[in-house]
Amino acid sequence: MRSWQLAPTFLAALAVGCGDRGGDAGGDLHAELPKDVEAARAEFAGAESCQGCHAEKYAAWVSSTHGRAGGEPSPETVIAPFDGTPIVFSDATVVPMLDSVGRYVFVVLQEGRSERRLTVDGVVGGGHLLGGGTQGFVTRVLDGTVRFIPFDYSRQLDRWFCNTTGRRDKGWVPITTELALADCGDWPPYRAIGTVATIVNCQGCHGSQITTRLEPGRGYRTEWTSLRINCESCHGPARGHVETMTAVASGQAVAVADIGLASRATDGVEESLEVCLQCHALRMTIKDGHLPGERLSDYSSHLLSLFEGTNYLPDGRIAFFAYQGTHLSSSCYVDGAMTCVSCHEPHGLGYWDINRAPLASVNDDRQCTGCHASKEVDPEAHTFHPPSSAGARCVSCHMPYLQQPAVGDQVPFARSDHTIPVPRPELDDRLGLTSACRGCHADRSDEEHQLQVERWWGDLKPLGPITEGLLSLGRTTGRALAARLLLHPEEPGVRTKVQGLLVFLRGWVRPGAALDSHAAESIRRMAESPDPDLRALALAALYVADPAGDAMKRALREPVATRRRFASALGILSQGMDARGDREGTESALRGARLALPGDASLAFALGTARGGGGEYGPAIEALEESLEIDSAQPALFVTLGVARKELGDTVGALREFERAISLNPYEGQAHLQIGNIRMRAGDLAGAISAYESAIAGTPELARAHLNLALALARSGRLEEAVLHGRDAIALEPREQGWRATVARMEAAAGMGRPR
Amino acid sequence: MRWLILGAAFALGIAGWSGGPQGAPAAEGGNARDGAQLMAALGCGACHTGVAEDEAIRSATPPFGEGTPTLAPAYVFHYLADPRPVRPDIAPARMPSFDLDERQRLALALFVTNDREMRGVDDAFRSAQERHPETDREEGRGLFEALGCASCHLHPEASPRRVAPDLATATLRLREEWIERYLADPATVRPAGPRPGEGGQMPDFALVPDEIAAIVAHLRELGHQAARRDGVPPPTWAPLELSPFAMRKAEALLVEKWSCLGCHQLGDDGGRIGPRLDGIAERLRPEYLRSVITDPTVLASGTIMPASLERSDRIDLVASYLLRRGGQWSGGERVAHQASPTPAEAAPGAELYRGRCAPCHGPAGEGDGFNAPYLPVPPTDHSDSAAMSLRPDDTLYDGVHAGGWILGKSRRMPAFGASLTDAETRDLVAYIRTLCRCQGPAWAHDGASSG
Repeated sequence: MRSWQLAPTFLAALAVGCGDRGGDAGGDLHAELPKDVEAARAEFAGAESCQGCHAEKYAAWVSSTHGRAGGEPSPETVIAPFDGTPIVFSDATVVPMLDSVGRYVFVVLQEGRSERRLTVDGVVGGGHLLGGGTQGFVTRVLDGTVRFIPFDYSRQLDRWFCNTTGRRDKGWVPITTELALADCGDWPPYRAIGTVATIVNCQGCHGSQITTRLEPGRGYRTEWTSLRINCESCHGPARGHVETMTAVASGQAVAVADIGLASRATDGVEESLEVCLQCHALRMTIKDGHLPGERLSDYSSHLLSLFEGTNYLPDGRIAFFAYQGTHLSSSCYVDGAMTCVSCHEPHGLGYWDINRAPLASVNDDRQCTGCHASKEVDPEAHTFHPPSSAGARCVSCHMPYLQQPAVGDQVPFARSDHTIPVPRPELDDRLGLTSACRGCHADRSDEEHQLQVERWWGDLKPLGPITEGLLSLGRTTGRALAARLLLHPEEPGVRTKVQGLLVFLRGWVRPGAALDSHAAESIRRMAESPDPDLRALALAALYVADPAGDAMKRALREPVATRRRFASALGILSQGMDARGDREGTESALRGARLALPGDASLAFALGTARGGGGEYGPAIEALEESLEIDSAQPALFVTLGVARKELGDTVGALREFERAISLNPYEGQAHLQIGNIRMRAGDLAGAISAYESAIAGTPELARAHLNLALALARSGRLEEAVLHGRDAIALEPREQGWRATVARMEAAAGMGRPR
Repeated sequence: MRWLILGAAFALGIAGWSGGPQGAPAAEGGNARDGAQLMAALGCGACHTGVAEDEAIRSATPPFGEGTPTLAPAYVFHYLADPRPVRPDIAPARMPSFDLDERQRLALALFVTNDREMRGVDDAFRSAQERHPETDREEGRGLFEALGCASCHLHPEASPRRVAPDLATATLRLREEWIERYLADPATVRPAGPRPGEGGQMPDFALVPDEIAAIVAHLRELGHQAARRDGVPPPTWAPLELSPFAMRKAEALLVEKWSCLGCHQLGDDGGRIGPRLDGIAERLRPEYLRSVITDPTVLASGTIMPASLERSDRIDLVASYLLRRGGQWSGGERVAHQASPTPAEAAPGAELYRGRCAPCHGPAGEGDGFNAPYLPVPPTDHSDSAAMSLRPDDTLYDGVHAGGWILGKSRRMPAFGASLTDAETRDLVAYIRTLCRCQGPAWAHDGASSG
């Protein structure tokens, strides 16, 4: 059994609206101290403290979708039916109901198992959004994290649904008797609210000032100010402001210019975007711990989320799930200065024009004609649709609602296209999107729509050269051609340049293999970009191609936030190299990342993991211990260290590391699992069973623990219990074909038929 | 020495000899009628609107050009350095001082003289020519136009222009204390004149206090009449009380977000087209400052200042900031006098371009207007065919309408959308196309047929 399995994943940091926290990104990394979360939290005053002075804005916010984004479960917040009507799976029944003391609960009933109750501790969403409004629920679990209950409600469908990603991979599907409980990818409750490094989550945006931190010896501590999106989510911590203004109002202090909060009215374009895109966009975390009021770009990068190649289509539209971050690809941003608040009034979340004149509707043309006044003079000459028709609205053609691809097409969850493109029906068809034309005129083909578009508007605005390059790229494209297609440092806008460079970097740059002159020159020009994402990525590309060149020297001259981007890029690239078995490249990339960010514990952890994965346990231990010198509170790292020691035959040392993991987090399932494995090998079945049960108690989604428990139980003659856990293991990891045969043998031995 | 005699007898100055209007009847402590007479005699209406244009001033001033008595260039050159009154018989009119430098005096002397033999040129004149070898008659012609000399002095090559501010509404716009100060020491309000490219500069008439009091009294009476006649004095408005925070916010809006400083100077920042904003509380009546932001034409028709599209509460904030930020009003430095040539072709957008665009983009659209050095971002070169051919007409239209920032350009480029009609904006776009001698990209044109 391969036990090397705890690689820290950089991609875990990629998520919709990851929220984190931290301090000033400038200066010496070694001198950077962990943030005092308690003190940082104390700087937030809560929305109610704003109400007294800012009554009008508070009132607008309270009734906005941010003000109604969630909260404690109550008749006001819950739109889903908790009336006892069962949600019926093929192998389970879930009953959303109010219990005897009025709490909102999900009662999970499965044959042969005891009833399980999941108490709703928080409500997320209110089904507000036009393109698909949903509501989810969270519950606090044993380890102190707060996790999403995987039964969501769609207002448009008036049905319960769940996310099958990771199990059935059908996206979001309505729950029917065709679906097993574990077909829901997040069953048992897995995604945690807040940020926990070892749990795929990043749900920091479904509330305000959510923090989840390790409490050594107890597990995690999860806190939030509110599950609504409150004033301080955008304005930053207001405690100082409230105190200052209270003192001024009472005459105890004189009015001063620094009132403890900055005006958002004077934000520049990037500052303004940072506020909204902290949640409304995909981004890659480059440093944990962001809280509102801090510069988001010190903590994360939107453009480096392009690293996950399946997130965006070649023209910048979303291929995954990203809300409105595609704004960064819109011509209104790239060639103009549009921000979110150019159209969205930020308090009531209504609409206004660029001069802040309120607009009544999301469809009001003045959102666009404030800038594009030329189109207002004779609208029909441009729209070719009757003026009062839906087709004549700007947003009908330029911001159509697109179903978010990652969720599939069974549950409505469409968001208007914030790349604000011109209609290109054939391209839409090629990219698997429903064109704006077909959205209304479904009876015609995209080919017909394309002809009509060209009749009306003649030649269409050309796509940029990188987008064209991405579209024409083939698997067999050679490196020289790929460079010409993808590398265009002269193209306006940064997103396309990052996307082109990333695709080239992943597909055509190999460690130590010199670049041809065109590619090298293009990447060098991008390394001079004023944009830190592009600069960092270009330097990373140059470093990979020539580790002995000057890229590292140049990277070391960069500000910390850029070095973080550089190191993150190398860290992610190292994963690809590791997967290809390129040991030397992996080591080189991580060495470079660590040179740029010597104080980063996760990079040393990653290096140790990579070395361990290559069977180099001694060097792995060396790197892991270096990581511990930087941060000694890493339960997962102790598990990895224990595995390395075990592989070297040091069982005692391994057990010591596993116990250290457990002493930090008593619910660290992997540590209990490893202890169980050692006991199993030693023939201590009772001890192993006990350890596996501890693993499952803390980490019920840990399929391997279920399987090994099943094996231990079977050897102990407890076959029926073994079969149940074996089935759990298969349900949680349906791709593990080998496990099915093992469980089938148990079922045969127990005389139990297959459940379905 | 005939030329010298002619020069002395037919000089530019008119009234007494020095320091003021010797022999002129003293205005009695703010008598409006005296003020009216004085203004007529001084020829205020030759440049300013809102008061009667009295042709008499042109008969009291010497004409220039072919067919007029020979005028010695050296005399003009020296006279302009200190234009003393030389004709007491026509008091109280007088030649004012334009505070000209050597090169400007040289240029004007070369333009107004009709002595082709250039007799009597002295060492000082020759030295000036050596120092400014490129200065010629044509430069003098431009300066003659830019200074508005033709408003009083006839010249076959120049036309009078009444482009100075409306005096009938002066006291509705300006604080009387400031008018008094200004008349005593007419520092530069608009560095390039009231309408850049059309010339004009308020000269120093060396008025004495009694004269000033009389003129102000007359202006006050005109203001009352205008208010009664038009019924449109700006509504009463008082600046808001602003906290230090609000002051800082307002300043940030003004400096970083709004386009005001594209034309107006504040401290060391800002353009040189409009009046400087430092100490504006000393100059403008508060209610006028507030109203001029929303509708600049209300008491100043013909202004090139565009109406702001900003929200009313923000206009209140910024107007209050300007009035409360303190500082003393002082004139700005003059920029080089620049008279834009009247476009050869009568393109409909040419005049609009000259008034609104050329100060920054340059008379030929080359991005080199007199205001360009004072802008943080170089103005677009409208004559750049390669770059301009990438821009659709609609993009040019939108930029004129909504301002440079919507195109990712400078926030100092104002939005003219509230001040220009659709036809005027299209005319401007068409004129810009003549400057670049190019068309927009083909893809930007809508298709011809509807199917």
